[in-house]
Amino acid sequence: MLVKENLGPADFERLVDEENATASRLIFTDQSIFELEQEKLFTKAWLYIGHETEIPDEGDYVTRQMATDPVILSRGAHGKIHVLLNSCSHRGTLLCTSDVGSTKGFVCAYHGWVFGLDGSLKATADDMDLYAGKVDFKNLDLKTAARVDTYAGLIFATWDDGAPDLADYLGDARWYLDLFHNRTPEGMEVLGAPHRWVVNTNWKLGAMNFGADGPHAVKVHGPITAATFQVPPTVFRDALVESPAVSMGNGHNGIVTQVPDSLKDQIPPYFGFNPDLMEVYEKHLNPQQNELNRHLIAGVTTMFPNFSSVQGASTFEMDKMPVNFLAIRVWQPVSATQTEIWNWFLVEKEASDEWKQASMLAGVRTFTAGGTFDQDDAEAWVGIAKGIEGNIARQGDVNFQMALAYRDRTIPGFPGPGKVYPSNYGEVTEFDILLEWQKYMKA
Amino acid sequence: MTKPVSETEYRELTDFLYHEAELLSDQDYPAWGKMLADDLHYVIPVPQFMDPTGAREIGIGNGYFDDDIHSMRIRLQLLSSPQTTTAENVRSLLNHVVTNVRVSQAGDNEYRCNSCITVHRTRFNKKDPTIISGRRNDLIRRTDSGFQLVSREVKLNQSVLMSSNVSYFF
Repeated sequence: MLVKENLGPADFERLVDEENATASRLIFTDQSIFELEQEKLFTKAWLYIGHETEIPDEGDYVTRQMATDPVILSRGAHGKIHVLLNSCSHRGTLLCTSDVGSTKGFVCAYHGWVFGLDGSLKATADDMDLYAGKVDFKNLDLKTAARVDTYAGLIFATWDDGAPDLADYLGDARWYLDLFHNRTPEGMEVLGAPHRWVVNTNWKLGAMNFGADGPHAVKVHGPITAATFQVPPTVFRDALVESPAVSMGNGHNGIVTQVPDSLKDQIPPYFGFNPDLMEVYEKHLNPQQNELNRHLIAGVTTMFPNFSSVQGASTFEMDKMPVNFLAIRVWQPVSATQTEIWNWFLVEKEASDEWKQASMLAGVRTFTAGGTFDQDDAEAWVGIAKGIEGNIARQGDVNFQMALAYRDRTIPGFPGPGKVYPSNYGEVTEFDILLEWQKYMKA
Repeated sequence: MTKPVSETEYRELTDFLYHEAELLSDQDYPAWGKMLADDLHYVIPVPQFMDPTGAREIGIGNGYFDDDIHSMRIRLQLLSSPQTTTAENVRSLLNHVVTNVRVSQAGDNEYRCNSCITVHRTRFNKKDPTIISGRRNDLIRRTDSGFQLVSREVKLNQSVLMSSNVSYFF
């Protein structure tokens, strides 16, 4: 199929072939499909905005993106969280130009209109009476997200009044989010400002990779894994092949890589987790969640459409125990072939200062623009954008056909909810993200 | 209060910075690695645009880079062989330009060196150069085997890195 205007449901039916586990390469390159995504997906889905600990006090704000729209995330009176379109209701000027700060309100740089932390219009250029009562100022508050809600400190928003509640949207994925974000009474906090970098490829490639692509890990990350864990690639491969991948429903997917049975007598429970908090985890999560976390060596997830997280343990000194980091990120769509990655590092609030520092170092040395894992992933994703841009190449498919071997093999009796498949290599969960994408695009 | 250095010292230190830049552009990491002190701290903070009237920091801070000698050695080891790097296989074409060098005495056998670094990088898949510039604040130590880089902080002029990865050094 070639690019055309006015793509309809039948076109999107063809663009992702569920039966065959393939998808058209056009969905990663075509700008008209990208524009439709803005309309049909990013104005409907719940999008990740920021973490509660980024705006702890009244007056705190950070500026963010909801896909191509700039927004302000602020904390107003009584601790209420607001998500405001960062565009003056007068002429559309970008209202807030700081990445982060504290304020009583937002003043437009052009005509000086003033808005409260909740987006309400407080003042126009001069005396509001100059309008002689001809204007209803209620219509000139900042546009706000239709719904804002949080789960385990994570703030989400949607432009869609008719969206399901966040709790229902996340659904069974909450059980898995708990493993990373809700395992202590105080929960997690961000370690610093987000890292941001621009990769010339489609946003879905990152979302799928974290949702998650098991087979790439040995090829791309084998050397760094061997160097920092002294783990031979065969053991790394076995852990991935034998570990479960989960389709949590509503397009939320991931892998929970477990210590292989052959190494369970050598690798202690909660490997990489904070030893001071092991008893706290055991009390705070339920026994089934603890069962999974006890032998977890990596957890990689994507909450549909573009919010991902990765937890793993790392050490760069062989005589020191590996330390877990938790990175969360948004694959912010810029164009069909450009994505801005936003990446934060989190740690348990209860952790000691030493542990926070160690966890931060484990994260920034692995999963960011210069990280020993991410720098290699980015090259592969840019390679896809380059490889499929031509006239002949874009007529082909991207292939997820390992799913044909695994999609009917769900594991019965797994401790967690969702459809659970026996291998990180299965490609089922990655492809499930595209099936969810297809639902939105057909609607 | 900065203590001035002699012309000879200034010449020695700028030579060190130029030599280092050449090795970084050549990606000769075994040689560059020998110029690093065992107590190395290499850090690149995240620049932020901030209204000074309501400035606020979040958390303990997490730089784009924050390396000691152990993590740096692993980075250099991985980037030194095409078998162990995807990002630099094939290699980038790099040009490190060092300017605005100021040197002062920072203690016995140690020097504070401030400089600007501009890295021009092209890739096989991105032929127009990516240019990132930064202001470096270095501590450099004189040892029996030559100068060694003890600490380097690089203040970049991009808050959003317009680059798919940073698989090189400043």
